[in-house]
Amino acid sequence: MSGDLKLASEQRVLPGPQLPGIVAELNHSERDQEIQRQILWLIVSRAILMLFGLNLADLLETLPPRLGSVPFISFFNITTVVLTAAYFGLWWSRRRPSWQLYLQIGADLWLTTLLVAHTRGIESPFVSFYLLIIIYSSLTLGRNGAMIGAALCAVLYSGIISTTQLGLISFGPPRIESETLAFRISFHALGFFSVAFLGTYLSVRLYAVKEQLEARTDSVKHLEKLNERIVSCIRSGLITTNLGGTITVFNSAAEEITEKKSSDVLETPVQSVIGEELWLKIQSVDPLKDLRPLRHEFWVTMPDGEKRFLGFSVSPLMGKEGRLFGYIIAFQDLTEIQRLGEEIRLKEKMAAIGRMAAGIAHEIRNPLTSIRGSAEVLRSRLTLHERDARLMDIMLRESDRLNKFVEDFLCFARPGKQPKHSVELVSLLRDTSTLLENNPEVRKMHSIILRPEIAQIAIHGNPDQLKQVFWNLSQNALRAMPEGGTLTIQIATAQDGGARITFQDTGIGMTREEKENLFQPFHSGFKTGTGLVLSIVFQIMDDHKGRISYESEKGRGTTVSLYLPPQEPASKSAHVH
Amino acid sequence: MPSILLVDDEPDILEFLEQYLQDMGMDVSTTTSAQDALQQLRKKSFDMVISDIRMPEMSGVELLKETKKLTPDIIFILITAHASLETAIDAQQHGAYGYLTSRSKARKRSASSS
Repeated sequence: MSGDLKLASEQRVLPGPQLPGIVAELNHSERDQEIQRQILWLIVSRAILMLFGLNLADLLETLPPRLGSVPFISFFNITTVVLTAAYFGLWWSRRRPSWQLYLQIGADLWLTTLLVAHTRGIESPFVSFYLLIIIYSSLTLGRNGAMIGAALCAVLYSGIISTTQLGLISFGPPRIESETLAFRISFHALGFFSVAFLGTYLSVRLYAVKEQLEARTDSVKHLEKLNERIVSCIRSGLITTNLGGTITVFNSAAEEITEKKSSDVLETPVQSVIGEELWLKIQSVDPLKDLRPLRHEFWVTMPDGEKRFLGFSVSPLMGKEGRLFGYIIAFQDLTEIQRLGEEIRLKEKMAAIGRMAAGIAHEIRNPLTSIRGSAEVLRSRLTLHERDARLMDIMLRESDRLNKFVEDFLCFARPGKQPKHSVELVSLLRDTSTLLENNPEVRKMHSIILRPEIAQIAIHGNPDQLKQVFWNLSQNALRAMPEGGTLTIQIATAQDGGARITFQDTGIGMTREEKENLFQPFHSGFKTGTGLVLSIVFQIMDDHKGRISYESEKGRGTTVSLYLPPQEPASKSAHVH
Repeated sequence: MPSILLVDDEPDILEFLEQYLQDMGMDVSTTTSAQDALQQLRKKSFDMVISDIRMPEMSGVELLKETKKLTPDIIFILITAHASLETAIDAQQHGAYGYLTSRSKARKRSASSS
């Protein structure tokens, strides 16, 4: 591992010989900054050590007075200051930090050797400086640096000692036995290598620990960020509370769903968001015993009066030791799902009622045909008194009414059976509107306005069924305006090329309950209705893959919007009727 | 006197239609089964057949096909309380003379008294 580490760091420290300057300049990685820090630390500490140590040594008169023609201490002081300044310059320029290290090591080796040579060689107190050089080269350059440093130290030391002992330099220390000399040199060399080895070992360990720590810090930071992102990006509302129910986290989805700002609800009781009931429910469960998440769904009224169906899932927030800290409340806006579910349930209900209706209708129809037919034959055969004739008429009329009801039933039961082709809607609406104007239900106080925004639009459908939809909706609108009013019928092209038709009346409008039961069979808002009309409309629209929606306000009127999908290219080629 | 064969699986409907047509001065034979109708058609010649479409054993349209094989020139009228365009087209294609339904009338009514 240390090998890899070394390799990696070297690759980054030594940018390679091809483009050293540029790459080093560009490569301001963390590793480079680390080297830079080490160099600075080196420059400062060696300057202090040299100046302080040598001047102290000078005070203690361990230094020779002169080096050649210059005063010894002054030479070293000046050299130290000049070198320090030069190093600073190099450091500042941030060029080739590893070269600077080699340069510094080299200069220090030279200075130390000079020092040792002039301070009684083998007895010099400055031999320990070699150790310092080895230590810092091991710390900064790793194993190879340390070993090369140790080898250089050993060579220089043995070289300088040997030369002083051989008398090549005049002011050497007293000569010693060659065996002792060899022993001392090898002892020191051993020391150098030991230090180099130890230093390398320690520095590698240090790097490893450091890298691990950095990696861990990185991963912790990464996790924290990830955590934050998850909490804020998740499309579920997320709230955490402490045990007392004070909100501690309120993510952005929670803000959107509840339309409350996190700054307003943080540190406030959670009941204001999730309601008292759910909070009591949460508290009544012992999360240490019952580990299943608590689920709860209810309708929430937004500030603007809109209702949303929210689904909550509450989990205990526990520490490692299983201690309960608070609660995690995740929730989602299920309004749409709820609405779709209701739509599906309604459709299923319709289908079931439809099947039943078909069965009933067929059973009723045959006897009814017999009754009506027989009555008609009877009436044509008999000469009746006026009173009897009236009763006969009632039989016929009521049979017709029953037949009409069955008719509606059948229509409701199997609208899908009708063949479809390309239908032009604007003319269909004109027909309906003309028919309406000639209808006895339309009185003087009613006005019908047809306002097509387009000249024509064709969709794939059954004209009879669509006419029935238009007729039923218009009729309902007129009935909703017993005191008179205006029915406005509009048609426009929808964004996807389909048709959008609205029937807007200025009538009595609907209450919430009436709205909810609008498309349910046998729920008529009108005294005379069978309650099947809108169910049939719903069925037909469903069969045309269209949509029907409505807005209504009690006392203001109702707007019913129809959407019919555009016809597919294949059906466009179908013959136009 | 024109002779008519009435076919309907509902005896009550058969009854009032029989009476009604007799009142109009026609010679009416009745049967509740299409099979029986075919047998009668083989024995005797009729001017016209009036048949319900929906019948359990054999549908009116099938009866129409069989009848046309026996006597191609016969007038064949299908009646139904449960009209659909497909059966109408089917019937016409197989040579039905007419296709009567109360539904088109009822629909006009539905448009005026919904």
